[in-house]
Amino acid sequence: MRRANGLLGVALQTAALTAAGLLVAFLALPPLALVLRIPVGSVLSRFAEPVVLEALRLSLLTSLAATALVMLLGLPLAYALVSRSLRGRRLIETLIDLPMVLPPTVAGAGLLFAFGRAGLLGGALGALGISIPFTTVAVVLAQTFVAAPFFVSTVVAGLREVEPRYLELAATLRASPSTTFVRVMLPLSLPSILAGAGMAWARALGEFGATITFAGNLPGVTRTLPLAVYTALQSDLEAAVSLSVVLLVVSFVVLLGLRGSGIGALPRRVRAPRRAG
Amino acid sequence: MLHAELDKKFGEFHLEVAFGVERGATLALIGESGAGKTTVLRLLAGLDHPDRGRIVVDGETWFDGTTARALPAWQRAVGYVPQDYLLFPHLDILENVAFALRRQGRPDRWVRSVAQGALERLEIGELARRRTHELSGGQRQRVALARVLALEPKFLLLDEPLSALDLQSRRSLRGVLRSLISALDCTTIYVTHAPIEAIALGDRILVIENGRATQKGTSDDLLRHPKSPYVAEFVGVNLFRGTPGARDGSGLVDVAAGDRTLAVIDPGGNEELFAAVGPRDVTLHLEGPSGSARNVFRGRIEEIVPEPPHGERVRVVIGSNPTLVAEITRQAADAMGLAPGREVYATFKATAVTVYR
Repeated sequence: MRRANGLLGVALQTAALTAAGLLVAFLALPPLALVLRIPVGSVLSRFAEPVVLEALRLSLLTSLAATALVMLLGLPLAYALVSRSLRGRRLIETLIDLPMVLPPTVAGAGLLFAFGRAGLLGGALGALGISIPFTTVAVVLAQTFVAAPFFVSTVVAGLREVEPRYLELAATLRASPSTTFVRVMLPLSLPSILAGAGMAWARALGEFGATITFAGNLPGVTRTLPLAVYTALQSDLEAAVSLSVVLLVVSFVVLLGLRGSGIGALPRRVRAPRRAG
Repeated sequence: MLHAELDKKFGEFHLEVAFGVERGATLALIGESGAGKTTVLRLLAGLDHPDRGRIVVDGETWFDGTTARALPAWQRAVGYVPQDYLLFPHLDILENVAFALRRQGRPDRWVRSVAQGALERLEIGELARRRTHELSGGQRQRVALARVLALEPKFLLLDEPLSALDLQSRRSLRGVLRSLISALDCTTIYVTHAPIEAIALGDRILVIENGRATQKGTSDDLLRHPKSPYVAEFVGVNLFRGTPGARDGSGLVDVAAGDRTLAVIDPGGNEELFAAVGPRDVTLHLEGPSGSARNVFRGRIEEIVPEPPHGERVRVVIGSNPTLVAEITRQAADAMGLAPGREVYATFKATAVTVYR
């Protein structure tokens, strides 16, 4: 029996290792394929082409704007979710997570029916002389929509990890609730805020489906890097490869940076030594 | 002057105490773990609020249960030091101490010099730029104290400030604490498990048992007249409780306690009384004594505990009913060959018993 168990163990171990190796290979293959397709010698000149530069500039502008918007609105929301006993908290949290699982094209359609000319708010916006679809603003809104949950859920988790007794102690040291938030809560949850912002930015940078549905594919206005890749694939394969590699490298560097600074993984608990009796 | 009436329920636990502390005085709060000591401090600091009651400090109402008025914690002039110090991990030592000083309009130089001054009063000025995790327990406790001292609090709440420290730092900090408390003009509540701290630092001692105040008095009152087994054990005396019985005309009276009858000096009256015997007044014998002592207990030794600081004296716990503790020199214990399990006779004179109600 022992021997049979040993054999079974070895077989299981081998199977598990094979499975793990297969997945790593599967995940590594597409990026590798892209990198191998780069035409040797022409990489740098390709990157400097106006099409690439324009898409890159637009992508950086919109994704950074979306990240800023997400942080500006997401931080108060995350704080409210952890500090108040909100009614219907579960409903709100589910709603916030929804864009993470929603197909981006569905998100784009939803945005169109909300902010489009014939949409829910279209009339009101039109009366003010504002038209959002197919503008750079629409790109930012689409990216904000899909990126927000990554920031909010990461920051909520981080804020929950802050030992509440530090906040109490700050109160006994004459710190008002707002002072306590700025001088204790924020610094102690800074790692999760940075991690959330990094993930939101990466998600905004890679946004495609919601953007093309809601904002269209207008060069210089709404054609971000992912859209430029899609467009180039239909005409100029080399350009598509160059654009893809740019996105690949940027995404990889962002993720690596998050891990390297120790904030990519789940935030470590900021804890007090022990609870007094 | 602090006046507090606190009534608070947490599930099964019910705290209900009322007490006052004179302006500038120190009240030592003693009691077993879970008795409600930390809860009292949290209610006074405003971290929790009573269900009912009142807190009035120097004429200012901090809490009034009838109007549900509660001053928020951050507006109360307290200095609160929790048991585990809770130094902010994201700030260095100087900034921890400066935390409460950094308010609008205060110049940075002033803040730093006050914070540095507080550190120096606790003899840790050189640690200003260290991080909290680099410090020893005793150093952290000094930082926690400096952090509240920099505020010049009118009202100091200390939760077992020395309990997490080793013997060496405890001894040196006890002296520091005593001189600080007397130098500051502040009202102090000092929670502790250690009799020596309560006696050394408390002008008055309040005993809390299971959410109720069971005794309040000077350390002398508690030493002479402990009113519960907890207090008796805390101050280290044997306490018996019983009702007077037969009187033989010699000025003594019998008091039934456990399965013994004690002979004590008759205080008159027939109400239940306390009888306390110091462990040093108890003599041990290997055979039945024939002397003049009226009270003889017989039982097996349960435990022999060396007394701090160096164990020259030992406390011998005798498993009679009621239990009796004798304190003798280690030499005597060794000479008699005392060891747990050995049967001994313990005696004390009727005149060695303090009787009170």
